[in-house]
Formats: sequence, C-alpha cells, structure tokens
Amino acid sequence: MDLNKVFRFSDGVQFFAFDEQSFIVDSSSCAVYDLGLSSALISAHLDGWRNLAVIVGVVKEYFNVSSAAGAEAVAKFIKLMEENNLIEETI
Amino acid sequence: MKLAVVLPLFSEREFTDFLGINLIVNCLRKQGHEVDCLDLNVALVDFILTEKTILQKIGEARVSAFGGAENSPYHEYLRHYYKHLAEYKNAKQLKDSHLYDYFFQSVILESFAGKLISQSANPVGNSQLNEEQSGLAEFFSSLMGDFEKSVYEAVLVSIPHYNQLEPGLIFVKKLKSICPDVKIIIGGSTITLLDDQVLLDYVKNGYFDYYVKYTAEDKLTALLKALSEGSGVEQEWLARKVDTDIDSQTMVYRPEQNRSAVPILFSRGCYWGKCSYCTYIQLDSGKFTRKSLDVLLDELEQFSGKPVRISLITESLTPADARSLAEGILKRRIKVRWGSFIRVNANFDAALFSLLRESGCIFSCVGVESVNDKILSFFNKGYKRKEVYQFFQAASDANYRFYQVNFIYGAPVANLSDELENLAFISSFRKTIGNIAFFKFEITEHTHLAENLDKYDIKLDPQSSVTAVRVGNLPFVYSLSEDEMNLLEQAYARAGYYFVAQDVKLSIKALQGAGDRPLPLSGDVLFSQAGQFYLGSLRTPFLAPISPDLFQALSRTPKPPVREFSEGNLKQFFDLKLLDREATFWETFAD
Repeated sequence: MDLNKVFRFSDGVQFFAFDEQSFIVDSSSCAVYDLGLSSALISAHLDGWRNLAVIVGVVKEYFNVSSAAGAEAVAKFIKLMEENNLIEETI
Repeated sequence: MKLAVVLPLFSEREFTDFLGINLIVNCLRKQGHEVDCLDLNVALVDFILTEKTILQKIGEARVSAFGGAENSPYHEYLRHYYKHLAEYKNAKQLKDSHLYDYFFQSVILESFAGKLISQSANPVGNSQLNEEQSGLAEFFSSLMGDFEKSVYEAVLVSIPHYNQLEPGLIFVKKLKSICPDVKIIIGGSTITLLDDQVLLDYVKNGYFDYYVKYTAEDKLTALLKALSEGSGVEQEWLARKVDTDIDSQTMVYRPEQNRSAVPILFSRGCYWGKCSYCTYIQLDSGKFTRKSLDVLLDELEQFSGKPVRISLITESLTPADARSLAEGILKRRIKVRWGSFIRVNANFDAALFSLLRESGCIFSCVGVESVNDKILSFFNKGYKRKEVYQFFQAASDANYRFYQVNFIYGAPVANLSDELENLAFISSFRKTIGNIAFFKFEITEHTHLAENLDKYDIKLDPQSSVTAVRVGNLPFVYSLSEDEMNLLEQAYARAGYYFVAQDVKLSIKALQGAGDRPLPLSGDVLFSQAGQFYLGSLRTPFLAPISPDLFQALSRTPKPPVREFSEGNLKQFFDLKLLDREATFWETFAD
C-alpha cells in the first residue's frame, strides 16, 4: 500500500459520524453502509483529505496497535471502499 | 348531571396524557357533575383479557400467520407470550407489570386497528365504517350493554388524533342507536380542524347531537346547563373561536402521575405563528396567550420533589419567558424536571441555556425541521441555517442537551442532497441532542401552503397511497423518488439508534453503580429448543439465542447481582426492554 496516496469519497458519497454507529450514504445507488469503529475513524480522516500514512498513524494510536496492524486495517478498508466505488484517489 | 367522558379507539397514549380532556373533567367535576372517564382502549384490553377465547384465537392466528416451520423458535416464543398473557385479568395488571404498551401495539393495534380504520386521507362517510369486519362486534355489544345500564344524561367524546375519528364515529353511531335519548357531544383537536359542513352532516345523520370546537370548558358549561333545563344552544356558537381564561386551566398533582409526563398548560397560540404548514395555530383563538407566571409557578410548586416529568404545553417558549420561568423556579426552590417546545431563536444564548439546565429543564424539544435554507424558507420558519448552528452551539457551550430535536423530510422543494444536510447537522451536534424524531412532510387543508399550491408549484396526487397522519391531508407529488425516501429514512433511523444506544450506555453505567443489587429484570421469556437456549421478551418482538450459562443465571430466583452480568448482557436486556431505562432514570433522580 502506497502510504502517500490520498483518497476522497466519490461524488454522492457522504460519511456521517456517529461514533460506533457511524455510516456512509451513497446517494447514487441509494445505499447505506454501516461502519465499525475503526472504519468510522478512517472515514472521518478520509473526509479531511489526509494521506494514508497519517490515517494509519491515527488508527495505530487510537487502538494502541502496531504500525503493521494499523496499515492492514486501513488497507482492508480502502480496498473494500474502492471495490464499491465509494472512494477515489485524488491527485 | 351524570356524564361520561370517552376516549375512543385507538390511542396508545393514556387518558391522563391528554391535557384538554383532563382540564374538561376537572372543570365539570368542580361544577358538581358526576363524571366517569372511559378510555375505550383500556376497556377493549379488559374485554380481551376477560374473554380468554378471543385472546386464544388471536394467539393461534398470530402463530399460524408467522409462517415457516411450525416449530421454529419464534413460534415457540409466541406460544409462551400468549400463554403468559392469559394469566392477566385486566389492563391495570398489565400496566402494573409494564406490559400494557407492547400488548396494545402487538395485539390490539395489529389485530383490530387496520380492520376498523379505512385509512382514507379524507374524513369518512357512512359507507366506510368497517365495524362489522373488524372483529370488534362483540366488544361493542358488551360496551353498549354497560352504557345502557349506566344511564348517562350526556356522553362527551374527545377525538384528539385523526386515527380516532372513524372508531369514534362508530362508537357514537352505535351508542345513539342503543340510547337515543342520551345527548352525545363530540370535540377535540381533530373535530376543531374538520370543516363545519362535514360535521353538520354527521349531526344530521344522527351520529351526535352537538360538536364543540376550540377550548371547550365555557361552551360545555353553558351547553350542559341548557340541556339540564330541557333546552339547547346554537350549534354555531359551539363552533366559534373563543378566548378562555388560561389562568383557570390548571392541573392538580395526583400520586398516580408519578413516573409519567404531566402536561401543564402555559400558553395558547404561537409567538411566531407563521410556519407555512402548521395547523396547530388553528386550534385556538389565534392569539398568543400566556398564563401568569405566578399562577404557573404555584402550579409547578405542587409537583416539587415528585418523580414526574413536567411537560409544559406551549407551541414555543419565548426566550424571555424561559428566563423568567427558570429564575422563578430557582428563586422559589421548586425541584422539578421540566421541558417545553423551544423555537430556534438567537436570544437563547449559552447563559440562558445554563440557567434552564439549572432550573431542571431537561426535557426541551426543538422543532428544527431542517437546516437547509431553501427548505427553511419554504417552511417559513423565520430563521436560517446560520441561526440553527448558532443556537445549537450556544447550547453546546453551556453543556446543555436537548431532549428531542425534530426534523421534517420530504418537502416538495428538496432534493436528496438538501435533505442529507440535516444528517450532517445531527452528526455535528450529536453530543447536544438527546434524541431525534423525523416526520414525513404533509400538507393539510387551510394552511398557507394548501392555499398557495400554484405559487409553490405543488402538484396534488389524489391517487397517493400514503397514509395520512393529520386531518385534512392533501397528498402531493414528492420530489424525492421512493428509493431516495427509503435511503433518507434508513439514515435517520441509524442516527436515531445512535441516541437510543447512548441512553442505554448511561443506564448501564447507572445500573453498574449499584452492582450488588439483584438484576431488576422482568418480562423475560426463557425457553430451550433443540439444544439451543433463547431469551425473549414480553415487551418487544425480539428473540435472542443465549448461552447455557446465561440461561441458567437468568433462571435463578432471585436473579443474580448486576455485577455478574457483562456490559453486553446488560445492553441486550435493555434492547429487549427486560430492563427499564425509565426506571433507571427515576432511581437516579431519587438519589
């Protein structure tokens, strides 16, 4: 995973922070996706247009896990979101 | 005179919840009338619990209607539920065990309401009354027998909510046929909002003798006096707007109000009064009238230290009144937990929110409706997005939490993106909001919007299958598609669940604070089937598979202490309503 990459939510996709009940709405497909706590944390920072290195750092610190575990959680989330066209890479 | 005041089917709220009815009963009793209060909802529950064969039939129908494999865990749960219900003799026993509400929803409403009410968007005509198909013929027959024996001189029927109109009409029509000499007088908010011609047709067709609109105390006093003297009064006068002395409309504390909401009237009319969709302002004289502060404080003083929620009845409390009231409560050392509707207004600053919190105002409700400027302008709320954010920021700065914040979705001018702004707002202020409620937008007759449909380019949709909540509904074409509407409702529901979960967390914390006491769990349905253990509830339709250890612990009498259960277990018990958040709140209050 290239940690310098920056992603943003695709058009029509919006993140709503409600702590452990956070969710994402995709207006184009009229779908709602529930997020776990770590996904919500990643989404909140994704919304702020931070690069993946920053987000991995936040996850690592928040959950008190190793860098590798933090990076794995972020990579898994990004992959899932990309597969569903919910996020796109920014330049 | 010997009178009956009747609340018709189908109301989930209790007789005592309705301020107007209580004020009328108090007034009539003060005048020396003998008044019986008859809640037909309670009467129906009593009837079903007495006629066990009916309950048994309902139970069997529910089990067979569930479908799937006949011996599924849910079938077993339903059998347990109905077997348990058969042990109760009347509504009071159900209420004492906090089982009434779910029984009413799952048995009464599910089994009868849909069949009795035609769900027409418009007031019903004679041909639409469905009593014969409702399965309630036996109940009405028994009820009429009771009325025949009681020999009332007049029966007053209140229709607070629109869904009670049809059942109310069925009741009065039957009563008139059995007791033709009894004078029947009908009133309540729904009647006030109905057209006179519709109501006069009902009078002509023998449903009732008189209808009373707006505040009824003075009119009923005159009407009953005239009836006792063998005369009557002009119907036109009974339908006119009136001014009633608001200082005389007070409530008295009664111990049975403990742990419930007590409605106390503070004002009539609305100081804003310009929302384009609002019908509430048509319920009274139209003037904004307030009770004297001293009268209100005297009224509140009776409730000092009592475990009740004071619900101030006002369309919206002004900032100046909020300040005077909070200062008065603190000065007179009145210990109450109270709330009111509050409108977004820049004069509510952090200092005022702090004062409100200090005075016990923890149940305030704000009808924000939207934070989108286009929608706010369409609703003519008189404020913009910027003011809403400032208002909530002031509350947040004062560490004040609104008990409930209301939103309206589905305005014809809104697109999905406009609507989702509300969710972003709720998310931003989630620590300042206790709960949310969201309502689908309706346009009703006689409102500013209804009278300016062309101006706002609103297209009516007479073929709409949307069920009306309010009287005089004018179905219109929504701008959101069905999928978008569903998406929005799902998003609101998720946000709503967040607030429920926060409340549950607080309740768990309070419960764990007294970890040595036995778990105060009740209403549980425990059973095993094919080697799996299940926990169900007499208060929700939910059923959860549980571990053998938990099954054993819950089977013990008395229950093990709270500390023996994990946070996850306690959350599950609250979700199943086997633990009571309300009771936990009042225990904290008592401390």
